[in-house]
Amino acid sequence: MATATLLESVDVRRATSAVTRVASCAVIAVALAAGGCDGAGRDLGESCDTTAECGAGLQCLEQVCVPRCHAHVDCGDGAVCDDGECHAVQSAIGDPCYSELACAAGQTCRLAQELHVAPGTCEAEGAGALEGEACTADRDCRQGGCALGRCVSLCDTDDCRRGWTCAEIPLPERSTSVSACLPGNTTIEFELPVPAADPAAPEIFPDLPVPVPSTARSMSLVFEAPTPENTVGASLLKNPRNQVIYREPDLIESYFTNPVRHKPQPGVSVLQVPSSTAAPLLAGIYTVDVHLYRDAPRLPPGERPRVRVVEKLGSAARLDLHFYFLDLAEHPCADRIGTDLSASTAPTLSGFQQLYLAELERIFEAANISLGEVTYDDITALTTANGRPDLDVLDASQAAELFALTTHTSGVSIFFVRSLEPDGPQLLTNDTPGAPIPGTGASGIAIGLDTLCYREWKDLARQTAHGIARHMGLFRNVEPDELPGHVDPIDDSDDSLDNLMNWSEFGGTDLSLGQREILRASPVLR
Amino acid sequence: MRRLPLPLLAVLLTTAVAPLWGDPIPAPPTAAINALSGLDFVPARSDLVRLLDGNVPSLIALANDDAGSDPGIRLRAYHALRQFLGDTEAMTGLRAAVARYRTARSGTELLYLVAAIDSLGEIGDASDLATLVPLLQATESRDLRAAVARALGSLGVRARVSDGCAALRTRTDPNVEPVPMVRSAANRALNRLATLCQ
Repeated sequence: MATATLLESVDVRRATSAVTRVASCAVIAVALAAGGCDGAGRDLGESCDTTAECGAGLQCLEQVCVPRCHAHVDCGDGAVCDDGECHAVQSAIGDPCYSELACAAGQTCRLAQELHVAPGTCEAEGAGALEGEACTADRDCRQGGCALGRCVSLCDTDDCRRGWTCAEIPLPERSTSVSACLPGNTTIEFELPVPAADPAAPEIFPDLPVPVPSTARSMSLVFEAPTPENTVGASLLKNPRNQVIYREPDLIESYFTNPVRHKPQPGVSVLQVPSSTAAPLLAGIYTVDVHLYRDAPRLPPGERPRVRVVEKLGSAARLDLHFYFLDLAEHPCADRIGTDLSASTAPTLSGFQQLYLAELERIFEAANISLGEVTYDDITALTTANGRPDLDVLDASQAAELFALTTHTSGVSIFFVRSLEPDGPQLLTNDTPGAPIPGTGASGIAIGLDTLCYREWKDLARQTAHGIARHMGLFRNVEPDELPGHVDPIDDSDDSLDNLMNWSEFGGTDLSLGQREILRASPVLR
Repeated sequence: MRRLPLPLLAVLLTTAVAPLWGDPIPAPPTAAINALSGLDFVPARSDLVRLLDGNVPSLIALANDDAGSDPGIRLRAYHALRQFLGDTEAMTGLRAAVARYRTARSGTELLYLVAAIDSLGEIGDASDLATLVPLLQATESRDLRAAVARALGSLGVRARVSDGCAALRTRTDPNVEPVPMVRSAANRALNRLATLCQ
């Protein structure tokens, strides 16, 4: 273990830059409230040999009185903050370490290849990606190692930088876990390496490990097939306790009895944990078998599915809404709307703002989710100047094309189209849940504006909220077939028409506590 | 279960629906009407037949009921009729709707017309071309022209008729058809009709 001693060679650039060496204490008193202008010792910027010589709130750093530190980050690389004073860390290359703070300046606590007593050893910092940046292997990172597809610094309890949390991160390839710093409130995304298929079972890609850190609130798996026609999804999911919580349904009944509800879909499908009461999210390593249907159309042997993992860390609950408008000019309901709805009219249209958006806000406030950024774009923002006239009236078979145009990395993308075909629904989602990442065929929802010919903005808001909640992982509270057991997988939700997740357009906006919990865990929140 | 919402109640209080032609027909059972209130689906034909106790004319009458049925329910009824291929009563009902609303160019009545045309495209026959083709020139509504183009594509493929080809081709010309959405629908219909239109 490396040791920390009184500062001798600590990097003081950060500290001295804050001081600016102004001679007059009166001048700097306001700017440096923590400074020592009380006359009890030497003032800020004066020379010193020990901290005892400096005034209150100051420490002696490189023979200059500077403000005391509050966190390790105040002391720079290779130093720690201990009781308000920065201390240089001394360590030798190869020393075992638990945390980035245990290694001297110019060194990093590098994740060890073979884990023994400590998870890392102090090594010279090299070139490479910074903490939080994408990586595929430890060698890609300047510090620490690569976990969850990003460079992480090892930590010990609370020694991460501000806004970050020391989390337990499973390392499937090492069959263990380490403590490393992760952002406190964010969504992380990484790709699962998918090995080549076994020729004996070319459709199944078994036992892919999915690490879930201790600070995760939810985990979503987004499965994508090489073509929009090939069906793809999970065939088996085990939790960190090795319990099977999902098996690909062969009958409709098994779809409803699985602890985690999911089914493979053409092109893209999504599995989310938690989405039910029966399968809460656990930290550790999940294992998933991926099923890629190779016929219709037939895929060459080398083709494999793409699997991305999205995990929500922390409890942030802001919902961004991104509205996209197809060409809605001369719409049949324009008289009732009062204008042609578009990205330029929606932000000031009273019905849209004071009735529709306000109702959406009210519905999600009940789940303690607040609306965040609201954006308005015409479809031409995502396409050429001509837009996508073939999607103005959206046929369900083309919805994935529209949703794949999304670019926003947070929130939900909502497409306003003239009408929906072929059955004239009011709402179109890809499946439950939607993909919490942009650019896939399940990355948005569509609303038919023709509903406004015979309904009010408030009704449209309820329809939209239902679609958003589906996208965020809630299922219908009861299925239209009304068969026994065909209800959502949440214990405390009823089959009432009052519920937001009722399939009828005459449903209400109620949400049970369990439903609210699922919504708040959605990775689309930030 | 909470009380029934007002729009639905209005439907349920009706014991008979007034079709656009003929005598009133007993209203469909409550379960069938409820099933036609889905946000993102219309019931499958088999489910509807079961819910209607086999009384498909009551669905047709509900779609065409101008006397108080909820517009959302009516629209879904029109869309649901697209599944009743081979049902002459369904075809007749849709033709009645097209005749009734053929001059509508905005609002809910235009939605009824578009829905009826879309469904007629799925279950109609060659005789419907004479009604549909002229509507391709309804300059006041791009939604109507696009619906007719879709219907001509579907109907032409199924009935193996090419009578709509010339009219569709005209709608692909930017000098004639100013709206890209309609040109796109016409092009798609022509693609479906490929060999028939050559």
